[in-house]
Amino acid sequence: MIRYMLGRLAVLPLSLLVVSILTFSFLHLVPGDPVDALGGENLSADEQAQLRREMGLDQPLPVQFFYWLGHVVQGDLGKSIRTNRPVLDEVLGRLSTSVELAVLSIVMALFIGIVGGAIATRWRGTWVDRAIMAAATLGMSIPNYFAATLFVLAISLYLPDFGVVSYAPLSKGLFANVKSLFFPALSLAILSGATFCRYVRGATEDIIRNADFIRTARSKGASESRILFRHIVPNSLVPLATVAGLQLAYLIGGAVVIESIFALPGLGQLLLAAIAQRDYPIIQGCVLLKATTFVIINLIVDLLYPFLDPRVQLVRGGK
Amino acid sequence: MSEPVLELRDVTKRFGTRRRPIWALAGISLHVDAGETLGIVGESGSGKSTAARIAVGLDLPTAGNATVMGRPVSESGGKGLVQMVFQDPSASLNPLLRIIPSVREPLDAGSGKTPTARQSRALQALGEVGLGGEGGDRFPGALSGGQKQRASIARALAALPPVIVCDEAVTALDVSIRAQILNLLRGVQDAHGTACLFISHDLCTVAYMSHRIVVMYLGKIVEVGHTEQIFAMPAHPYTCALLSAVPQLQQGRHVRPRIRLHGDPPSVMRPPSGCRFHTRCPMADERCRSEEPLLRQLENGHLAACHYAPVDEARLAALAAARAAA
Amino acid sequence: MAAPGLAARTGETGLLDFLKSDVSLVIGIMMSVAMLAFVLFGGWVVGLDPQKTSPDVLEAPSAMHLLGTDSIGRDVLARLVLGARSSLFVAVLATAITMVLGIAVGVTAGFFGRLTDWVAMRIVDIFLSIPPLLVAITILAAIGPSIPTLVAVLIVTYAPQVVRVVRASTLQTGNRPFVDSARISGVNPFKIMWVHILPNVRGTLIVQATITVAHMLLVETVLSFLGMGVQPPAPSLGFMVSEGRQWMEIAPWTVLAPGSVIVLAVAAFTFLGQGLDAALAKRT
Repeated sequence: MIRYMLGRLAVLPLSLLVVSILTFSFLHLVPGDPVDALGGENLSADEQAQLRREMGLDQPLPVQFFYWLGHVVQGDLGKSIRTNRPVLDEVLGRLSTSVELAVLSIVMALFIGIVGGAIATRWRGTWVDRAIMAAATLGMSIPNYFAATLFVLAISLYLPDFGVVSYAPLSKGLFANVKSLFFPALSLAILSGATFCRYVRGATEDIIRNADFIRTARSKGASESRILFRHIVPNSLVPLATVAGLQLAYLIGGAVVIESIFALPGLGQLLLAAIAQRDYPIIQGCVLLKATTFVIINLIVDLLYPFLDPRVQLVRGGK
Repeated sequence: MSEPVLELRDVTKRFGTRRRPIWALAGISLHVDAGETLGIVGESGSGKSTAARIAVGLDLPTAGNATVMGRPVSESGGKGLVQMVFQDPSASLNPLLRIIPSVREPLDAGSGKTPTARQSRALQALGEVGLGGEGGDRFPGALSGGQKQRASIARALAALPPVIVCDEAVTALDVSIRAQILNLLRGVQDAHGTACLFISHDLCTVAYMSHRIVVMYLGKIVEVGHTEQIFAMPAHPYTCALLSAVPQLQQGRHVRPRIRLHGDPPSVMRPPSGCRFHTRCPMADERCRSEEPLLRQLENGHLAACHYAPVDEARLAALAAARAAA
Repeated sequence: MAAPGLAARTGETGLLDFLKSDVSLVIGIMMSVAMLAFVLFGGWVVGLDPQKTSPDVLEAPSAMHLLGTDSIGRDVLARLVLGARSSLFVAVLATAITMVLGIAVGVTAGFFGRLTDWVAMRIVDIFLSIPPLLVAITILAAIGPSIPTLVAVLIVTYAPQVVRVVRASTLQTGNRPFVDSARISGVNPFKIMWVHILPNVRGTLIVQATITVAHMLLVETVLSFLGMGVQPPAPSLGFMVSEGRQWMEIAPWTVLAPGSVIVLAVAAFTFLGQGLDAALAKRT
């Protein structure tokens, strides 16, 4: 057990290293000199030379990498070309929005997935089961940008009063916050929720096929629903937890596309704007933060997994 | 005396990690001479299957070595020196290949003969096991368990290795066909002079097939001898218990008192101190608990690892009964 | 005749019976065939030039333009056919290379085990702990979008997952006695992988391939939505959705049409994969 955890932890620094190499080399992948990329044409030749020295561009690449890494660890991610504010500030300022969106969408997705899966299980083998599963497959095929677009369209056509509410942070009250994030979160939740639904249904199926205790409970006269909710569904949540965790990990770094469609001031939108404006320090900062949170949350999910019942079989389809 | 065709010397096998080792084999030595069948009998956890795998080179010993015809087993692949017949007939043959290519595989891999020669030898092997004619063109799915096992035997003997290993070769078959397969094995062995390492948990089968028998318990050899010796004078308490449990072996002989073993089978991960059998042995004493007995020669070719071997069966039975009553 | 092992093992079940055995499979096959027909023959059937602009801007669907026109008068349906073709092409190409790579690494790691396997799995773990879409966007933003880069990025982000799946199957099959027998005989390891292991995991591989196509398709459209896929004026489904968003209130078909095609295409392969998986499971 400890071995497993240590093994997982050992991968962490390597993953972070790869992430930082990726982020670092990004600047050097861009055609042209990094100084130019940083807006160097606006500086005088002297200033350019000084910048070059500061960045250590005359040094071999590995050395540059460690310079950069050193700065990063101290919290210095450079300055945004556009606003000249420290990258760290810009990035952290956006983090809460992305986290709120991520959490809300996971909650919705879990709701959709568990309810859908439970209903399908309750009427297993009937058309209800098949219909729900088919709907889930369809749901898994809807890219979130399309779902988002459809919502925006539907709102503008049928609910003009509701409107696409502009983002209200938590400070303005939970209700306002959730209202402003409702459709963005729902767009994300459709795809995830559909996947979760299939997971839950697959897990319940495995449990039902293999478990004798259900026969025992039934013979004692317990009703279908009781069995369902007391025994089957809770057990099916275990593999779901890992998948949900991973999804959360991914979303916390900013759901790039959704934020841009709904104009939410999150990390994803920051990243896209920075790409359009060639604000490379910001791009690096976003990528670094997102990747790091992903790696860490991934690790936490992996570490927690053996504590959840390891006897529960993995769901088919959870490949 | 000529060299044995298969030999395991002081073989030890550890599974698991250094911190939590599982000593599947704790130093065993055995040898199979040309043309003879050596049987290994033991319960699950005794290490017999591990010994089999090491004998064919599927696993490497942690310490000690295994040799075939004097050469290390790991080098024998492709030289057709040793082959194996497995327990599960259904899993022993690639379901997507016809029988002939499966049987021919050991020949294709290394015999250096021409394709025609290989094909005809494969057909010949199939004929020897009674699957001649169109048996070879079929897929394993169309064969019965017994037929599949015959095919496995044909494959094992195709390259005419000096020795084969049979690991529970008839255990998965219907009792009614077991005798057929066993007799088939004996027949082809005699015909080609092939030696055999025959492994089973069933003493009857082992006795029927083997010239000499090795009794294993928890990774160690507790007794070894010719089949007649083991039956006439089982020296180790464990062997006695095994023999007493099999009524078929008692025809025409004095009826053996039944010796029932008590105590939990010990775990391979934490073997008992001293003699590994002491937790279940009716006559274990202080010496047994602290000092591990070595294999001792009792008469020519008959060895046992017990401080008190050869054991008096009647006394053993009485002690066992007393223990049970307690 | 069906694959020999299939007939031998299951009696007289033929290919057709297999294909009919699961609802999802039937749906998946029908949708995929329809999609293929659409992509291959659609252009010819519609007969309009996807790149030809016209003054009939943002026209509603009509007899002449079955799905209307876009903001510069191009026929939407014709563009859909072309866009679907390029998305499908990218997805299938990426899948083919990913499968070959994934199988090569996965089978080798699973078969040789020990150090090879440990190293391969650690590398896979590292890759899997990095968010794939982010990597894709970053690389494309830096190097600039082009079809080879797009395909390469798709491969790099998904191959580790395929390796994992293939390796798991290899481990299962590799433990079976007939593989051991081949090892004892000294058969060349690569021959063992080719003759014994691969054929016996082909079900899993086919399912994984279809799932991969669905995934690649989805990701490709996301990237092209962001403008990082196939570049205009060549049509691409994701970008059409993105373009159409500006006009969607007055011309919703510019968004609904490409979006629906995307959903249908991805769903086709997803149903196919799920159906194959279920049908294979029923067979054993």
